[in-house]
Formats: sequence, C-alpha cells, structure tokens
Amino acid sequence: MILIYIAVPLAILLGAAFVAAFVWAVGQGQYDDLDTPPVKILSDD
Amino acid sequence: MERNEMFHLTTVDSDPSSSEDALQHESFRCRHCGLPVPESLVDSRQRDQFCCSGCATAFAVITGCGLENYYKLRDALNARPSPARSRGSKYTTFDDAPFLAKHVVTTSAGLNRIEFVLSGLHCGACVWLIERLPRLAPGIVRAHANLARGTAVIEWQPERIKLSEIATWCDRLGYPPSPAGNRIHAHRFDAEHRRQLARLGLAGALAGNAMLAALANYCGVFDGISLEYARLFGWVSAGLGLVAVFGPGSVFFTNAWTALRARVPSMDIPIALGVGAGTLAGVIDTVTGTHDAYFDSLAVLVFLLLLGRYIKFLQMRRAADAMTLLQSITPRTALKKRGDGSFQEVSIESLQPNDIVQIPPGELIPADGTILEGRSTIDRSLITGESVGVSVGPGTDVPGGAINQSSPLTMRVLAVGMETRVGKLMTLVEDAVAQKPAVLALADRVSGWLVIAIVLLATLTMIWWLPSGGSTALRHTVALLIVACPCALGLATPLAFAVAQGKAARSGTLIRSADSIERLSGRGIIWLDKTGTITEGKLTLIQWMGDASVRSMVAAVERLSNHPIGKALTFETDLKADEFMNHPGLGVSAWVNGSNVLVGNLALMERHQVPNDRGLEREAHHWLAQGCSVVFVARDGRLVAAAALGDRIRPGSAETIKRLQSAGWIVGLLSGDDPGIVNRVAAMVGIPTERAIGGMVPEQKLSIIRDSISKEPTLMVGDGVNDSAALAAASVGIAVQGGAETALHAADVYLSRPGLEPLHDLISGSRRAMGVVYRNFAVSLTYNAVAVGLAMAGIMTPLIAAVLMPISSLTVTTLSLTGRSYEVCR
Repeated sequence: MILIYIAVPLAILLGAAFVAAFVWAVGQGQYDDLDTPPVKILSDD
Repeated sequence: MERNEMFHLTTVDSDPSSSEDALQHESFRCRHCGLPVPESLVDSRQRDQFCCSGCATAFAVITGCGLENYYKLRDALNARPSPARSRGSKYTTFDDAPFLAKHVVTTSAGLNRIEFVLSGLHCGACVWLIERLPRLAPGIVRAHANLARGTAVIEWQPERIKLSEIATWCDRLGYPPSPAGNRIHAHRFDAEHRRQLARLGLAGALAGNAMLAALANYCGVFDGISLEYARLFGWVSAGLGLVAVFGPGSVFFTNAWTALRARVPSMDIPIALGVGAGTLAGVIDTVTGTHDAYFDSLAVLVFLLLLGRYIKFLQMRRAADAMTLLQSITPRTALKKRGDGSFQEVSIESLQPNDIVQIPPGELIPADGTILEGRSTIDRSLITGESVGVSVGPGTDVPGGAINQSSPLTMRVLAVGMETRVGKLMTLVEDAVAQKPAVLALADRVSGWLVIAIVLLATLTMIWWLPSGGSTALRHTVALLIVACPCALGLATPLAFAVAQGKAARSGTLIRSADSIERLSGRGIIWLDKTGTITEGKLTLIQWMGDASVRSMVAAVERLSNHPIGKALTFETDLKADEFMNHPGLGVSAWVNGSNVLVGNLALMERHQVPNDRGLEREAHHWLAQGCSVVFVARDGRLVAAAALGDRIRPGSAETIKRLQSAGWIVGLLSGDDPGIVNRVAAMVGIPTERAIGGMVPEQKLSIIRDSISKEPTLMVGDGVNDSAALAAASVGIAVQGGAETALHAADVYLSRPGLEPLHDLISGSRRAMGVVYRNFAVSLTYNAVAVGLAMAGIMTPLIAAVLMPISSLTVTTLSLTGRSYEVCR
C-alpha cells in the first residue's frame, strides 16, 4: 500500500498537466468561436 | 377584410386588398435567395428571376467568379432564405483617414486588419462565401468569418487594394459591411471570457479530484480504513480544496467585500461566509486530525457557482454583441456642394452649418436645414411620430433624420450633430438612461434575507450546542454555514434566465438583460406607440370609390412615381403609361391607353378644370374627417373615382391588446400624431380614450413615462427617435422591428418580428421563465432548509453534505433546462 504515496501525487500531477493544457488552449483562443468552425468542415477546399 | 372592420368602412366595390396578394407571385422564386419574386419584377424574357436588384448583383458576382458552390452548400445546409441586402454604395468614406485611424489596425506582418459587421451573414454557406474573398479581390490576404457574431475579420495589403473596394465586394456579395464598432470593448469581452473559462476549468478539475479523494475516505467509513491513509486522503482533499477556495474561489471573497462596503445585499455574502467558515474549520480539523472536513463540498460549491456565473456572462456577452451589431451602421454620407458647383459625397460628421447639400429621393436628410430648391414630401415619422407625409418647398425648415420621399431637394444646413433636433433628443435619452432607478433583482433580494436568516440560525445553533462543549457547538455551526450556502440558488437563476434568453433569441426577440424578464413577468402598464407599432407605419389603400376599371390605369401611372401615395396605389398591370408628369404638391398625370389620367388632390383637379362630383366629394370629406389622405382620379377631364389612403392598423393588433389586457396589463397609447387620429385608432384596437394620448412631443412622452413609473412597472413599446427617451426611462423599453437606431440604443428588448404579437409572446414567455426561477428557488431553499435542519440537530456530516448538495444542484439544473419559457419561432 506504500505505492499510494507515489500514485496519488502522480495522479494529481497528471491532472495538473491536463489543466495546464486546457488553460493554454483557452489562452490561444481555441474556445473563442465555437459556432463557425463546425460549418466550415463542409467546404471542400 | 380586416381593414374594413378596423376602419368601419364598407368597400364600394371589389376588395382592394386582393391586389396586394397578387403582388406575390408564387410561381417565381428568386434565383439568389429563393424568396417569391414580386410580380412587378418578373421578367419573362429571363431564365433567372430575382426579387431585388441586390440579389441580381450578388448572383452575377457569385456565378461570375465561379463560386456556384455557394448555392449547393446553402441548399445542403437547408439555410433560411435571406435576400441580398446590397446597398450599392461605393463606400468612399471608408478611405477617409479618420475612419481608417479609428477602425483599422496594422498587423505585425504589415497587413491592415478590420473587423466588419456583415449584415445578412447567417449560415455556413455565407461563411464559405465570405472566406473566398481573397480569391475575388487580389490584395485581400485573409477573410475570417464569425457566424455567432455575424462579423468577419479581413486582412489586406494596403498597397494593393483600398478598403472601399473591399467593402464594395462585400456589398456586392449581399453583405453590406459596417465597422464592428468598439474594438477595445470587444477585445475586453474576449479577454474576460478566456479568464472566466480558464478559472472554470481549474475549479472543475479541483472539484473532481477533491471529490475522488473524499470518496476514498467515505468508502473507508463503511469498509474500514487505516488511520494513516485516512489522514493522507484528508490532506489531499484539504490541499485541493484550499487551492479551489483561494484560487478560483477568491472571486467570491472580493465580491462579498465589495458588496459589504457598498452596503448592498449580494449572493456573494452568504457564499463567502459559508466557504470562509468551512475552510477555517476544515484546516483546523485536518491539522489536528480530529474530524472529517468539508473540502470536497467546498470545491464543488466553488465550481458550480463559477459555472452559474460563466453562464450569466456568456448570455450578457451574447446580448451585448447582438445589440452592438444592431447599432453598428455604415457612416452615413451627404452630397455636399463644392466651390465649383458639383456635389461630392462626404461623411455626415464633416458637414458644417451653411453648407449646401442635395438630398436625392428616398434618402435621409443629413442635418437640420432650410430647403433652397425643390418640392417634395418628407416622412418625419421617426422623429415626430406623425403618420402622414409633410409637403415641403423652398423656405421650409426640415429636421435631420426625416426621409425625403418624392423628388430631389437642395438645402442649406442650419445645425449639425448634437445641435440638431435628433442630437438634442439623444442627450435626453442619455439622461433618461442615467436616471433610471436600479431595481434590485429577485436573487439579490432573496440573498439579503438569506444572510440574516443564516446568521441568526448559526447563532442559535451555537447557543443550543454550547452546553455540550465549545468544539461540538463550533462543528455544528460550521456544518450549518456550509450547507446553508445557496449553491443551487447561485446556479439556478442564471441558468433559467440564460435558457429563457436563448430561446427568446431564437424566436427573434433580443432580451438585453435578465432583469427585464423579471419585470416583464409582473403586471403594470404598457404604453404603446402608434405609428409603426400598432399601425404599419406606411400608407396603404383603405377604400376606393367610383369606377373600378380605372384602378389599373392609376396603378400604371403611379408605378412611375416614388411618392408614398404612388406606392400605395400601384400594383402589377400590363398597361403602360406615357408622358408621365409630376405636379409637386398636387399629384401626377400621364397618358394611358389613349386616355389622359390625372391622379391627385382637389387642387390638381381644379387646375385642370375637372368638373367636380358631389357624391365623391362628400365621401372625401367623410374620409378626411377620419384622418385619411384622399386622392381623386380624373379620366379625360372627368372625375371618375376617389381613394382613401391611411396608415393601416396591423392585423392582429386589436386581438393582441385584448390578450394583454386580460393578462392583467393596462394598455395605453402614446403618440406624436394628431389626437384625432390617435383617439380613433385607440377606439379601434380597444384602448380606452382616457389612456390614448396624442400630439405628444418626445419630452412629454418622457414625463408621462416618468410619472407612471413612479406608480407601477411601466413598459414602453416604440420604434422612433421620438420614443427613445421614453424607452430609456421605462422599466422595460421595447423597440419594435424597423425602428430607428437611437430607439435600439435605448431599449432593453428588441422584437425583430413586426407587429404586436411578439410582445404578447414576450410577456407570456417571461411569466413562464419566472415560473421556472420561482420553482428553482423553492427546490433549492427546501434542500437548504432540510440541510440546515440536519445541521442544527447535530446530525449533519461531510458525507451527508457531499450527497445532498450535488442532488440539489442537479435538480435545479434539470428544472431550468426543461422548463418551458419562450416558444421557439413557429
């Protein structure tokens, strides 16, 4: 059970990495416009 | 048929409304937009038919550039048809240095960039078309459309193409551009949006992980967990909870502190109280290792409350966006006389008093002035509310903002900008907005009581449990403070309002702020404007008397005139009129089928020595007394017919007013038009005479609204500049379709469908939306009451809180999402 002292911090670190990725994506403006890109996949070029 | 009932007149011969129905020829659909083509525009020699010249241009440009895919794409998307709105303008003012300085930025790559609002951008095919701009016009490097906002960001090489040319391309494709207004404002909104979203993401991750850590301990309660691991998970949960509270959750503490200092009740105060007490007690418990702490509940609380706030922000942003789009207009231009006698297009802002300007028919008068040359009629309805056009000639003073209806005018400018009548009204509007009393929203009123109740109950709990020991009493009090936190309340109201606003927007009703929904759901008085609101705001044929066979001849003659009376009398006919003559202020004449046809007032008949007809003239007197305009028709020197024209009441107005009255609203009529006409219209739509007030100038309208708002909730419905101040002062100002932009600026709600029916939908929808909110309140407060009861009884544990709180949030969320508010457009 000693493993838990490694597993828990590791899980938290992993979570933190995903949060960081999300915050980075928000900062890049990936979530600014959610309406236009879906209609654009229909254009063929 | 309806019009006869409304005007209590009987038609002498065939129903004149049939001509109007005939105008829409079902067999021809516009090649560009797919709408029916008016019969007068059907050209049998052509394969493709168009409903307007804008559509014809757009079609030519699109096919000429090999972009036919647009039509395939649009059909595949099943997009709602919308005609091209091209203005045909050259947009020369877009190249002015001040304009460029205000709206254009230079990118690091040396390109120029502008954000345009493109009117008519509404589907995926539009986006596709706009983003093909670089192919159409060399020099445009990138065009990026945003469907939700109806805008496009365009980047171009300034040395290869001018902005006016880009604007003309957009216009010819059917999307007239205007600058997207306040760039800095939009940028700030974007930055705030990103900040809120990042905060929400962080709070969500923390809440999820804190719950996982707590879950291990809760499971341990039943299965047995060694003290060592229980403490480990306690510390993990505490760590994550602390980050949630002091990271994303810090916003509640700052808000609560601001509210406390400003002495206004706010939802943030009970939240900060609960979260603060919970955190403090939790830290002590974790360090000493005596009890389980509430950190998972606190983290979830922070996340859900931030979610509620984010939803509220999105809704606000969407409404603000839609409003700026409505308000953004192309800089208006005027034709100014230069030293050499020619006329040049300049922006209205550059006009000075004593400039000479020309106003073509159909254009807005750019400033207050005196007519020098020309005779015409002008439509002042947006400024004064008068429904009847006014004749003007040399020497007449005309207000800026009126529309020149029939023939070109030349005028000397007397006042510009803020000095004009419209400018002064704008000042009035701004004053009214500034003086509008703030009404405390329901949620804030409730939270005011909630704070008092929570503090009282907490004190009671403390006193009650004190005999059992200080630490026990403290633990139960802290439990109460946490579970009494209005979590569901903070999430429920914004969510219910957001859903309602979203549904309303889809049915064409724009609600600027959620507070309006609350006020619309009550009872009070509704003041309606007449012209353009109850009535159609334009002249139509109400009755025809005499020889019906000359009607098509009259239509042939009036087709050549662009006077409003002409527009009311014309319909499609095979007859052709020759030698058309306009007699300013009198009427028109022409030859049709070898007959001389005169259409105009009595003076025109007298001038052409047409012998009068007693019967027709008696009827004409009767019509004039009813407030209608009357025209006579003479054929080959003999008076053969007379027609009554008036501003027709919109079908359904009377019925809607009756429904509003039965819903508990008092309905009144407030108009700038002649009191006689106002009283008659009021009688026809069922408004009692004592509440039908005519002859009002904007200042009087404003003072009536101020007077009535001091007694009861007051709605004002209007469309013109003359209504704007009253709209701004009312509890809820509602602008109707086709209104002036000042009216949009002043209003809280904008109805994009014509007529009064959307008003009834708005009010009943608001009542249903408030119903959802009250239901949410009831559910959420019940949960809180139960939880508080458990805490006071001393049986509340972190485990029970961890179960109760998500359930209560889930319940109100489900209720909000499924609640019926505004019906989506039929």
